[in-house]
Amino acid sequence: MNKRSWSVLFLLLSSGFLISCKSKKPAEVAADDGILILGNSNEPKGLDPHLVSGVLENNILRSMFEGLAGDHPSKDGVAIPGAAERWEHSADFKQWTFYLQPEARWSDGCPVNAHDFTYAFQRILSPDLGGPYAEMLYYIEGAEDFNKGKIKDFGQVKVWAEDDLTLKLVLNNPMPFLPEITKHFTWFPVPKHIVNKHGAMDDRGNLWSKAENIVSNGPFKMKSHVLTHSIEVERNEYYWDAKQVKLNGIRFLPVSNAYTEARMFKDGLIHKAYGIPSELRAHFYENYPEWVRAEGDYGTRFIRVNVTKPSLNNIHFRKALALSIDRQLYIDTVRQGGGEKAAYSLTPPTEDYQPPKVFYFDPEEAKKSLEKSGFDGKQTLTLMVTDSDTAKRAAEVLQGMWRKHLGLNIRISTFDWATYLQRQHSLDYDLCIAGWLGDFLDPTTFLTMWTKGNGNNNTGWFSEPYEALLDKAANTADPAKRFSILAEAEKLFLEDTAIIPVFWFTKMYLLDPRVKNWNPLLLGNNPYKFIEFSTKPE
Amino acid sequence: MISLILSRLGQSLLTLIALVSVVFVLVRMKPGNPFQDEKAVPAHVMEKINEKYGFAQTSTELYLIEEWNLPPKVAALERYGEQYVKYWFNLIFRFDLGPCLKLYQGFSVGELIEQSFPYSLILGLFAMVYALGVGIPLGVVAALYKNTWIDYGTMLIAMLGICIPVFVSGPLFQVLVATKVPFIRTAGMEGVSDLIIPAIALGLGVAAYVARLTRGGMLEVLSLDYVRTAKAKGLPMSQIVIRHCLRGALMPVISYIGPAFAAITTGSFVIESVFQIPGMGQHFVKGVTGNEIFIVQGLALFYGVIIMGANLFSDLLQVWLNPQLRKDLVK
Repeated sequence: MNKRSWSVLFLLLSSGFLISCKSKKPAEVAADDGILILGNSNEPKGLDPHLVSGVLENNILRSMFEGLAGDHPSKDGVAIPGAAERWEHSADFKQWTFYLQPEARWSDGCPVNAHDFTYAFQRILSPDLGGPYAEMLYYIEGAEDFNKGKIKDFGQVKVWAEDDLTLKLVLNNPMPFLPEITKHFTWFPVPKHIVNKHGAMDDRGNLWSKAENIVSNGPFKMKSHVLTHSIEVERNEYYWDAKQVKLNGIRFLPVSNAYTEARMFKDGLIHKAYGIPSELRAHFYENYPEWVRAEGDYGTRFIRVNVTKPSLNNIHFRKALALSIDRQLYIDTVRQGGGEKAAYSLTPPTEDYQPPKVFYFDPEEAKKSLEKSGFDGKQTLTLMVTDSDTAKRAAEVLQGMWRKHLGLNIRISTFDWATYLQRQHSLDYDLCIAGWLGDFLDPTTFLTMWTKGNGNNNTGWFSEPYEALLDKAANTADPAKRFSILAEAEKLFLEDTAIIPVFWFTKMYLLDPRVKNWNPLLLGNNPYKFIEFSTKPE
Repeated sequence: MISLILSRLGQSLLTLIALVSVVFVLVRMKPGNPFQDEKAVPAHVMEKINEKYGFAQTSTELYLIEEWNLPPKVAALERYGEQYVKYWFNLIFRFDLGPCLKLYQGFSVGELIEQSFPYSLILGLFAMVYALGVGIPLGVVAALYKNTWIDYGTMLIAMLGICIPVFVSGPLFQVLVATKVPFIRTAGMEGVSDLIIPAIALGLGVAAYVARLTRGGMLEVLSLDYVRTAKAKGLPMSQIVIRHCLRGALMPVISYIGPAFAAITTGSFVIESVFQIPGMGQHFVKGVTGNEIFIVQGLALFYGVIIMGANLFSDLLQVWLNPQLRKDLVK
């Protein structure tokens, strides 16, 4: 290379450098363009609302699809018009009529009608599709039987389109909170004309939801999807409430490494980080308090007890384990400033529902309870956890507490995710650390799984009086009465200590202060159509 | 030469068949089902899914388990046999590596490789060029200044490069370089500048190893008679090194870069996770932990093809560089 070429290269490089120095950070540029960049923790397993079941899939689906009712931007448990402009119900909350938005269109311009809803319900309930979350529609009369193949004719499921804009439903039980449920992605409509174009309705291999095919009815539509790189959605000009939508698009990044995500946020690459690693919480609190958001979540960390195992089948022994957990200490050491609250029940308290206060820390009572159980100390129990660092640390803290307060020597066993799940399902464990996130804002999302034979029970515990109380609640239309029966059921379940709640989750994340209208919501389903950027950084 | 290539290809083919077979059995012996989730999938739904994807036990299997008391995984061998034949059939006649089951629904394993491999390949090539560009000169300098502080210094750096794991060097580079230099972003893959620090972090270990191998090779060659003759004839040192020594000294490096190239271009889970790169390495790990049998099989086969190709290339390169080998081959 001669002198001249060197100097040209130098000039090019230095001009590039100067341009870069002057240019804004990617998050600033995106904010100017009205594009919101969100860390979304991982690649979604799919975008077919009938085949997925996770939170991060929900985050993306909510931007593209809309159920009958929509989420309120700042109030929990308030349903605002979504795909339906209004709804009516019978006095016993069992018969519902939804009137759809006359202006609603799919992102390809076709009208969204009541038949798209009945088609979607039929599809998710089709036995051959194998929708993992079809249970969410079992409230509809006949839905469960259709899904389990007991009835073959969908006409017997009590949901029908009265006309193009009227959808009628008959439920098994009174459900004053049905509009809440319809916000869940399992209740979203799917475009009949597009699904049918790409294959059979109940074929799991139907490719209608791939980026190049998908059509949606929500405020945004698919723009691009690069696997494990990003998913970008853009404004859906056909959306019935398009005037309300402030953003031009949203980019979801599957950043699975929480440390990388925090660095990306700090470096101005994203507007919201999905979480904050526990070791970095103090750092952000101290140096960037304006970025940190800590809000109540609708979920609980608990210890699952296999009550079919010797010793653990003794209620006094289980109580001793529960009484000897210093929940605040656990939160301080394991969560490190996450702002979680020690749990005294399984269901986190809400404005409407006050759960019973069952669990507390009392080492003296724990010792007495252990004595009562007659435990001879010969049996070695094992606490099963996944192989993540946080889980191991949590297990060690519990192990220490049980050793200190009860003199028990509990072993820790770690397994990869798949094995951990399989052992739980086959009751091949003694104790394990588990968690549950509510799908909708009602205590039944936490309570119905402890019935006999429920796939999420995994404790071996069941009780007829408990199930009778759940039935009674299901048949009670008056909300206040219903909640008090549910609280009674929860008390009965928790006093038997088949699970030991430890803390209620807190959502901790980093949010760019320019992002407006991202309000604390228990379920975290912040409706994207209300989000906007403030013109000046606050 | 052609017979060498043909015999190597034949060996590679046999190895690939063995590889596919072993991986096929191993992924099926692992406990768990890809469709299992934290929220339990109802039994009747699971049954449908298992039937569709060949995870359901056949009646023969149930008979063998109940009547003959065979372990379920052994009883399943008959079903696996059928799937094995089907897998080969789809592979050979349809070039189909199978579907992604639960992760990446709607994508085939072929598409997964097609989308992720280019990222890994480009990053790997950058890392390789940098590793050789830095490693070889360092090794040569260390050998020329044997047992001086230059030698010790370069080898200390090389040792550090080998010892520091990527999950330490990666974040360090992010904090020390990316947050300071305006045109380098902490993570993500949007342009060429995003390749700089991941490539350095990825190539660090290889560069260090190459430096040590080059030093060893150079020392051996430098002590040979022909080099002494060249020195006595008054050739400048640079010419002796470049024209007469390097060719011989690089032999160990060449046999090392074959497998290193395959490893580096098929992605690194840690680098991809730290720098948010949509490469292929993450799929190896997620495939195994998620019991995604087709992803694991497909990637193992792909990796096998790459490593065998790279090895063949490095063998040929050795023959081309080493006259002794060429003579042996002719004999």
